[in-house]
Amino acid sequence: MSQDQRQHAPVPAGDDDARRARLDELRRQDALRARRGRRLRTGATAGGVLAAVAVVLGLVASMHGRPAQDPDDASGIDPDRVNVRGERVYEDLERDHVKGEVDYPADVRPPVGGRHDPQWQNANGDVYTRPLREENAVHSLEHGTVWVTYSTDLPQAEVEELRAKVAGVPYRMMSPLPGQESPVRLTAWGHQLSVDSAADPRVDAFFDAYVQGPQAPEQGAPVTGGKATP
Amino acid sequence: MTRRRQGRGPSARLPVAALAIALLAGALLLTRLSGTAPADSGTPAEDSDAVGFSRDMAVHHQQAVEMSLSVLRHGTSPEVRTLAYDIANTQAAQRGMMLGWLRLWGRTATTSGPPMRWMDMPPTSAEDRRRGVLMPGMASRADLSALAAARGHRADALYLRLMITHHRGGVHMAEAVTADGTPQAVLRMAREMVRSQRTEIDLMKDIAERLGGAEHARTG
Repeated sequence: MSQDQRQHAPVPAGDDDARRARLDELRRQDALRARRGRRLRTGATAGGVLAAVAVVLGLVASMHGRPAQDPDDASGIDPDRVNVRGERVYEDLERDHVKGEVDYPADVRPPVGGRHDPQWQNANGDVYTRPLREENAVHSLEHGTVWVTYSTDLPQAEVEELRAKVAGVPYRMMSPLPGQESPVRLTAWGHQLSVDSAADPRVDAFFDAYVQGPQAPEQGAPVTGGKATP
Repeated sequence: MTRRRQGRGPSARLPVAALAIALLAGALLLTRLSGTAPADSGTPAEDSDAVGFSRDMAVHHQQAVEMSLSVLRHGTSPEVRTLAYDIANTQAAQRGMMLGWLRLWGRTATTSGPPMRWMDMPPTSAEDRRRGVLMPGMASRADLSALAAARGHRADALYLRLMITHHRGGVHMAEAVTADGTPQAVLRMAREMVRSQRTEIDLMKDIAERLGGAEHARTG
């Protein structure tokens, strides 16, 4: 028999009344225990249901509380829109490869895209001290480069500040651009920002947004193994 | 106790099982309805291992691809060329995966912040940065130029020397990725990198020794 019953005192033999009373007492205890068990079970079930409801509600809440899960929007970098205050955005740029010279629009300097030379300019943190051939530089923009150009009037200290941001860092390159109206300009494919000083915080913001950014028509393409000199 | 267990067993287990099934069904339904995968699919934070590792390793890999293509152009040893072919393809593909993850997580591919911050390493010195040595094991721009200019066995030997150092740095970085909040795919790739790059380091040391011996026999 079970351990439960063995816990009870043995029923004394001989006395019928006493035995009946003892049996009644045992039955009463069994009933009590059963009731308690039922209560416990009901309690457990109710608790379980409550817990389940809580979990389900929690799940629903957490899912609805989360911002809309559109990963493309999460970085906030939309290639077709202004992402850095003050930048200009250009769309529908041509991408053909051409051997000869390209007549880039005169009002956008340096060019932000368009037809370009089959060979790209190396932009693996390359710092050029002479102006670049635009047809090659534009090809690097297509590969995800941010190209820094500066006016030849820019003080040497500021040139050094720019150099420190570009030198050795992949997908960045810089070169002087004689006659550039603004002191410093940053160019990515379809995006251009003009600033007065290398210390403008938007310089880093522009690098962050567009170095190998979503604006590049050829993502993952190389910026080494191309043209190494201006 | 036994009887109680026997007595309560089936009737007590039933509602629990039913609850479990209902819960599971509910969770599945919710997942299906909201189009969100459970757990794991959360977007890693800007300062997480996953984001830091993906950004830094994409740059680190880019240099390995560059060096491997260089020796494929000018190297001589068939063994080195096979290895370089392997590394160039593998690391180019892995780099693409890491940049793809960043895009899916809504993170930019690079940041102006110092590299290796996620792995608690001191930032690169301005001098190293200028030399192009942005992370552990990376070759300097001068090294890369020397490799591009080298021909034949000199190119083989220089490639092996630079790539052994590069792989050691890569292993060090991949080992720094902790399981804490890191998506499984990222963790798995980091672990695989550690294993395969260690194997390749041994292979490269072996080849370098043999090539060195052969070169010595030829010239001496």
